[in-house]
Amino acid sequence: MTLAVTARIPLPPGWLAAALLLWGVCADALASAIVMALLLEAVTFAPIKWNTAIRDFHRATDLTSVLFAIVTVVQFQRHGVHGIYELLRAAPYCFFPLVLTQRASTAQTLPLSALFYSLRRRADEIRRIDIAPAYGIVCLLAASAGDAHPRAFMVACAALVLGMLWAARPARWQPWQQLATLVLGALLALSLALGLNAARHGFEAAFMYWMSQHPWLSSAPNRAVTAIGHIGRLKLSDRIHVRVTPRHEMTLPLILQEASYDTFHYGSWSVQESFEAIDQERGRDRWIVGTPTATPRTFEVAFQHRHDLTLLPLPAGVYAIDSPEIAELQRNRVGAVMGEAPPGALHYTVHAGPSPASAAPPRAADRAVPAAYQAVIARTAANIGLAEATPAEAAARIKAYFLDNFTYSLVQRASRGRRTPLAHFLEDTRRGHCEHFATAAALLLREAGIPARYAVGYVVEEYSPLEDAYVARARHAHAWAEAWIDGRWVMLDATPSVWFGLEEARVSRWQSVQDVIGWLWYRYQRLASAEFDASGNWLLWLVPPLALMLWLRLRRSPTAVRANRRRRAASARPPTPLDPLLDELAAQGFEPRPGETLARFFARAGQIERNGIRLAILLEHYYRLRFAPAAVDDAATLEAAVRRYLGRDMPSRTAASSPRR
Amino acid sequence: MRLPPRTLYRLFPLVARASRWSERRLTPSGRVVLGLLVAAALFGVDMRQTLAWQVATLGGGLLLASLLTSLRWRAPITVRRVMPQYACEGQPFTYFVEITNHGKRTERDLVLAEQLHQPPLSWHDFRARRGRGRHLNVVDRAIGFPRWVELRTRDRGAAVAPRPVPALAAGGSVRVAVEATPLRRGWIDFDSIELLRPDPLGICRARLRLAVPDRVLALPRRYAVPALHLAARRHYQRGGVSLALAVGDSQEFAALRDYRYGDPRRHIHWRSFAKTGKLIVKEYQDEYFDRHALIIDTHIDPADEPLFEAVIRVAASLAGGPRPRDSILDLILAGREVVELSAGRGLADTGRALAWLAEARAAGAGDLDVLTELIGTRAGGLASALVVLGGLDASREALLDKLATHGVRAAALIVSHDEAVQPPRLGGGLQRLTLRVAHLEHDLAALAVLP
Repeated sequence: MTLAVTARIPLPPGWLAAALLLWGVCADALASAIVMALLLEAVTFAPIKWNTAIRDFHRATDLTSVLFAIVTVVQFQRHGVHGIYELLRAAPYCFFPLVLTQRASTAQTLPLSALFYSLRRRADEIRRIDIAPAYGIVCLLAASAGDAHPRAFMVACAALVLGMLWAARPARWQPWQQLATLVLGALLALSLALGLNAARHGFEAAFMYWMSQHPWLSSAPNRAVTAIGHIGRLKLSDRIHVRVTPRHEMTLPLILQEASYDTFHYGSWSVQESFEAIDQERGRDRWIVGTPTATPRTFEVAFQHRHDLTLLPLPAGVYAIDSPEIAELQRNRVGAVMGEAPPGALHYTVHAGPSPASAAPPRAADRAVPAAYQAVIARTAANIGLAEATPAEAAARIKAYFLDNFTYSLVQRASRGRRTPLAHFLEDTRRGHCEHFATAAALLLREAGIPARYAVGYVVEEYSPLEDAYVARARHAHAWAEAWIDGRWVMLDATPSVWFGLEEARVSRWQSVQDVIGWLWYRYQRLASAEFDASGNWLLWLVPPLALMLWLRLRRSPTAVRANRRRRAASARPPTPLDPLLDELAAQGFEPRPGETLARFFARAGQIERNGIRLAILLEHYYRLRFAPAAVDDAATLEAAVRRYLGRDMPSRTAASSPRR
Repeated sequence: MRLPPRTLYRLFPLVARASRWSERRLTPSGRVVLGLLVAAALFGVDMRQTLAWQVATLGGGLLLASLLTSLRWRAPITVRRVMPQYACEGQPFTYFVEITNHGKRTERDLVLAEQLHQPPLSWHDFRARRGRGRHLNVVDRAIGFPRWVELRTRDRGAAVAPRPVPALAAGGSVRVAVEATPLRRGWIDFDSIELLRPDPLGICRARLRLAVPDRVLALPRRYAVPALHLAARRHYQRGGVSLALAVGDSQEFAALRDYRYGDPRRHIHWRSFAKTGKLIVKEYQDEYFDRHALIIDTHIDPADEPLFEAVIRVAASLAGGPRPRDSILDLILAGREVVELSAGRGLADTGRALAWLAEARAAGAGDLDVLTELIGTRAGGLASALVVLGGLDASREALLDKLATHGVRAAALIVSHDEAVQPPRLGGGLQRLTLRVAHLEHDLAALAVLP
């Protein structure tokens, strides 16, 4: 069996506790950090250490792994991609059992097999590692993910890193040389920081410019990329996006609108409107987005979303939204409402009136037909006969034209040549999906002089007995046109109404299984968010009695060892002439192991001969002095020899009588 | 065996070099700073989310400053190794390095690191050679890097951990004991010694490389073998008196005869010379003693290192194991050509035989026909033969038959990867014992009866 310990880094006393406290301050976990730091220091200086077996280290690692896995799942589920930073913030919690086990053990190191599962099967080799510095790094990085003041953080961070370097500083250099190198390092770090900052600004500017040149790459709330140019079958999933539980009787289908757009450009609808924050009603989790009406309809909506900022699907006439989960709510001029909430299942209550909420009147963008489509739209408008129709008639004619002459289809097969996809749809195939119909309808309305927009959302028509709620799946996402008729925005759904039935006919056989899994996941998300937070506090009261029980249990454990007995015995031992030598070896990282004789220890340290004096001779004299003091040399001779060995003394009269080689 | 893509293989040396650089040129604290820098750089990519980029710049600045102060270091220091002649595979041995400081300042905090000769490992060799591999997980096996590292380390021959050097006074010298563990048999070449000096911050180390070529021969690993009861059958040996002086019956005076050219002068019987006036020499009875052969079949695929090593270990264990003193052991290595060495009292000692085995190379597939022919001429003088084989085929069977025909009691020790075979046990007449590569120690200890 080989036993190897990687070189341990001498950390200054309290270094880990300081790192933990920095994390606590920055990551808003000061109370936990103080408890953890105190625990760590208490264990370090405790009179008892535990003779921890290798399998116990393995258990501690397994516990850490499980904790880490749970935190990973929870953070990614709550925060999506940004969960990585939340995970980083919580990392000191996860690895704490491991570092605590190491500190409480007599070995003060971890077997490497604790960290690498594949090594656990190898009984012939035990390599050990000290994870304390690594844990310090974890704390520093976790602190960096907090809300610290940048300069204060940099200072604290530098103090910790330099503290670690100071404890292990080489003795060969003068303080001024070390200071000079440190100043050089600080200057280089500063230059790097300034350079990075400048590079970041430059990169961000370049990226924004590039994004503005390629608008279809973005999925911003003020842009909707359609699948109008898509060839082949448009595949939409059965995944449930929206769950609606009405508090009153509900007429079906329920249309939930997400957003409206006014500018069409190469398959992409957009709106040049900025979002503005809506004030929350004082003391309540309510946002007022319209004028309350006398006969309100109320719906409970749960919406699955993947980004922190998301457009909320809302019914027409909405005037108030209640949700404790929404951090901030914003609205743009065309009626889209955007909420800020952790990714996952967002739960909110909607209060809506019978009629659509008043939205801003049309602007120039609502009347423009893009130049690339003007010809085909004009020809189609002439076909329909929109020139002399009133707005209401025009809307009815457009709807009837599509219903009579067009077919709903998710498949686009024919080659388009140089024609635009929309022209191809209007004049060649006459087959398309809701985006084709909505876009064409909006542009035709504009051609007839009626301001129009393109709107997207969900059609809720399916009832799920499993969930006791109405649901809208990904394939129930829909698009339609909005027309400004008689001083208000009116919905014009030009898609043949058979579309819902056609979609239903293509349902996957696995949908029911998928629904059950989706529902379980949804219930888990609900459990993991609000309910969990509310019930967590009382659990904290369990910590002190449990900790006391654990302490009593561990104190009586057969593996508990009075660790500092040896230290006390060592300090009580009278000084010996070899002490300077032992001190120097200790400074080089060599400490005698328990029960190791000096002869073996020196052999392990590998220092046979220095300055013409052999260590074996010194040891022989020491043994003679210790075990047969009356017989031979006095201690002074040995002391002088040790000084000469260490190179601290030039040969003198005393040293001249030192042991011969 | 699954192989990594060749593009991945090309990255291995880079990774190994980086890892070696960080091990040698960074102190333990330096490695922590590097770890901090890498982790902080990864988490700091999105500078709006964390302040980790600040930590990265701090680590980067300190590391750069340390690197700058460690670029160059010259010191008037000389080193000398005091090496043993032999070491043993897998057995740590200690040698000494004498370091002398000819400069005017005391050198402190130095670390001594050995630079061993590293033979190149080609893609072809990497593909062909087998690693230990059984402890690796699926990912490591698929990537292949651990096997590559294992093969390179084994080729280097020994593991030598860096050692701290005590303070080296101006004009003074120290002797440092260094422990090395041979990882294979054969010559281990030490190219140079690196003295590493920390920078003022204790992050990086400057390097002073001193070319001190040296080599040590690592003998094959041996396992305990019980005392072998080899068949005792004394034969007339043409080695005559010079051998019989040490082995077998000591010299017996037979008669006097006339001197012939070439007779040793010390055999002249001076009294008869005085009487007769012509040279008369004493004639001795020709001598008889036991002679055993240890035949090792080196016709094994060089890529199957574990098998060949097992064969050599079995041979070394038998050659170095206990046997009747009153006998000679002929070591016969049957490869592309047959080479032999006689070991026993008055001849080469066991160490010589082991040194010989230490340098043996696998000869690749082939038959033993040349040896079988040769054995016909030698069998008359042999009492018994131990034949160590890597497998059994017609050619090997022929050799065993030939030995049996000549009345030589022979035992074939067949080394095999096959785990399912039974451990060795007693058989009648011509014995064929199978030794399992994975349980060599156990199976050799169980060798109870041999010819």
